[in-house]
Amino acid sequence: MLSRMVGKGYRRHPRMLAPMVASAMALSLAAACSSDSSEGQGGASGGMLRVGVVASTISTIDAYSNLRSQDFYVRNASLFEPLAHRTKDGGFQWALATGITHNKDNTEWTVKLRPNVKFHDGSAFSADDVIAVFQRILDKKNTLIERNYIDFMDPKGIEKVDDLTVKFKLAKPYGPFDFAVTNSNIIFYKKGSKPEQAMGTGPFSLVSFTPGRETVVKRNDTYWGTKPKLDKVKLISFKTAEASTNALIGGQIDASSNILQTSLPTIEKTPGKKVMKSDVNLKVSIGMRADVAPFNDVRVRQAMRLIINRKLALTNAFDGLGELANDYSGFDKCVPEVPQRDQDLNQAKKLLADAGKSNLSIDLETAANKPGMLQLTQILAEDAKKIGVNIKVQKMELGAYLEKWGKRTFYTGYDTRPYLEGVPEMISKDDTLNHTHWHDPEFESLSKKLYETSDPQQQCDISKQMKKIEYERGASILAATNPTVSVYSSKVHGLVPDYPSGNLYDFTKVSINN
Amino acid sequence: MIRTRPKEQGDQAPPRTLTHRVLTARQTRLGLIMMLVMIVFALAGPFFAPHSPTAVLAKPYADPGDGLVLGADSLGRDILSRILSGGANLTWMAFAATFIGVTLGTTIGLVAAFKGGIVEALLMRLVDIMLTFPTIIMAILFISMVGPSRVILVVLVAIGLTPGMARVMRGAARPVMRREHVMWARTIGLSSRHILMREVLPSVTSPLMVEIGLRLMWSVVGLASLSFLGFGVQPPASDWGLMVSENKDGLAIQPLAVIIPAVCVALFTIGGNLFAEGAARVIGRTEGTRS
Repeated sequence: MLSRMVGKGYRRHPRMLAPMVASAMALSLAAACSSDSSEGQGGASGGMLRVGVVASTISTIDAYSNLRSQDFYVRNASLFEPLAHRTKDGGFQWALATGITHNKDNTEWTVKLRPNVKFHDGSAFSADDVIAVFQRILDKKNTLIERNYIDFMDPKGIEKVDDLTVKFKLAKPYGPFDFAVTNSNIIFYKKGSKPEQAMGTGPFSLVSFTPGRETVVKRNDTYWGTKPKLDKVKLISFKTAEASTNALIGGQIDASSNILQTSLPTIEKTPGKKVMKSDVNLKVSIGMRADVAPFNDVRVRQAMRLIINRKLALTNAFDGLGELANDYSGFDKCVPEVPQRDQDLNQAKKLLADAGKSNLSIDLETAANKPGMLQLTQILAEDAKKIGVNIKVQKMELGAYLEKWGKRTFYTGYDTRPYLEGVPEMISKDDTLNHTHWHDPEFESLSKKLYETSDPQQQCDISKQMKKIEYERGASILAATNPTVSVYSSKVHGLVPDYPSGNLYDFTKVSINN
Repeated sequence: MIRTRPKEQGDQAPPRTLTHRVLTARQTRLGLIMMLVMIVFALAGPFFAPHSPTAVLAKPYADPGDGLVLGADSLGRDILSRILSGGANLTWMAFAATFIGVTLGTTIGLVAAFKGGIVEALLMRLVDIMLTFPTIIMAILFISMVGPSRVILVVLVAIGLTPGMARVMRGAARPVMRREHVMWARTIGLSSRHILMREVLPSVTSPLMVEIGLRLMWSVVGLASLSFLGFGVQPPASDWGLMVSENKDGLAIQPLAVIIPAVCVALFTIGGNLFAEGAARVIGRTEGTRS
């Protein structure tokens, strides 16, 4: 903040103040640009919680949008609900559904809906709303990401049995149906409502939304479940994790789940702040577009994977909080029998020479929207230099970065999804989903088998084979996992990290001492 | 026709004498020495760096030791090497931006003063419009659209310097236009370019010198601020402004990575300011004596 110095000398030499004032102004401007101010504190009973989220100005209030930043997920988790929430033990905590049953050959599934659920305008939630949402997702014209999770469904096969029962008739068996339809992104809004109304059934209802700036939600007093203690939640948007961290340290927000791990030593010394680490890690990935040069050659992709020093990435980019990763996705216990890949510069150099790319020079683009992301790219670039490969890191603004999502050649991303949920995107023909453009016939053939069975052991065995293929010829560098670290003010109580993302999504049990 | 060029008159001292006075004044000398030391430090520094400024050598924010004289930064890179290498970009970019901004601003100011009338009005309104845009905000907006590049940064900072420079030079040049030697040059039909370069420009060297010092200082501050905000020199390159930004989160555990680059920027700007202020004082004294 701007500090003002007063003294005799400054009267006599007013111009000497200029550089100091300029520096101080620059610092204040930096602080102003890196943190969005938030004024005022809560209401009378439960108060207001201010949460920092990384967001883009292209963010929209629609429950379904393919341009997503963190604010999208946090806002949706407050306003809308899925059929069920997945739990760590592999089960479900039912939300808008109360149960899912199926016939013997997994071709007919029945979803029972929760009675007495009301939308924010007081109207009743029913089977019609569920069918409308599934049909919107399945409509190819809408090109929604969620279609990949449920594209085994036939829109015509979705039937209303009664107001609280929906039947899904499938063309062929689909084992993990209940897993697919309980995806946390498949959420339900009132049929016929406008997107800007955000007419959900969630524990909070919309007060206001300003893209790239803030979303304010208030307690939904007609909520079917345990009613939130807070009066309001204000989701304050920041462009970067750094800005969110600064705002938290400065007391402009009460909680943030985008904390730079390099800031933790400082935050831990800051009085009145509590640190919470997620149970499940996220994987920061470096994607290589497999359908264009130079990454259309598997040798170049493998070389890149051998260049990075994973142990250094873990300690220096992620502060040693996560675990080493091994170039395959997913977080479950179905681990393929492959050795832990480590740095091997000689082998990388040989592979590049074999591919005729010894003096490779390429831009690596990142929005640095997850902790450790920028540091990871810098470590890769520095390691690459040792064998004559020039990787130029290009840090970009998040909005600009997302606009060309699916068209970039060498770029960063992240993944927190279970394997069963990630695979549909990896085999998709849609660029925005299968952003690496990687198509492997054997992988795609195995994925069909994966979704035909509902036997967990069979699913595990197949996924091991698929992960081995990713390890051998995939198009992502997955060097280390990284827990989501959240920090919040000690006046906030009841915050829990969301499963499996680890972010701060659930505010129903939260209270704040204002 | 008047064949002999009238001598310069009025309140301007002969440039050579004034320049000598400016350069020998204690304050300007101190400012010049500070600037020169920082320029030499910035330009020669990379040759003395013990390690590559981008090499990851230790744990983040490691204490001094194990060959790292000042310890490690947020990514485990040698702080000393990054400080030694972090001024070169800032220096050349600041000089380039200052040169472009001063040249553009001086040209606009002199042409406006010389032409007068509608040309002057149009140029000055253009300058007024440019002055209404905050330089750093405009730079951030532009860089967000086209992406960061060192050339673009130089151009943006130069554009930011131009309007202020144009106003000052127009103000300084207007009284010169009424002097005999300029009127003589116009009367005998010398070209506009000749009059501006040979008759007007030498008469405004004093304010020009002061402005160059000030604009250089603002270029350094502007470029360092943009790097701090993430819109200037991009990682992993080393840059003093970027270093402050990258390491501010570890201020409590590794303050050197923030304090030393900040001090480097401050010394550079204070040097430029001392020089500009000293020059202004000498010129002011000379003007006072003559009047």
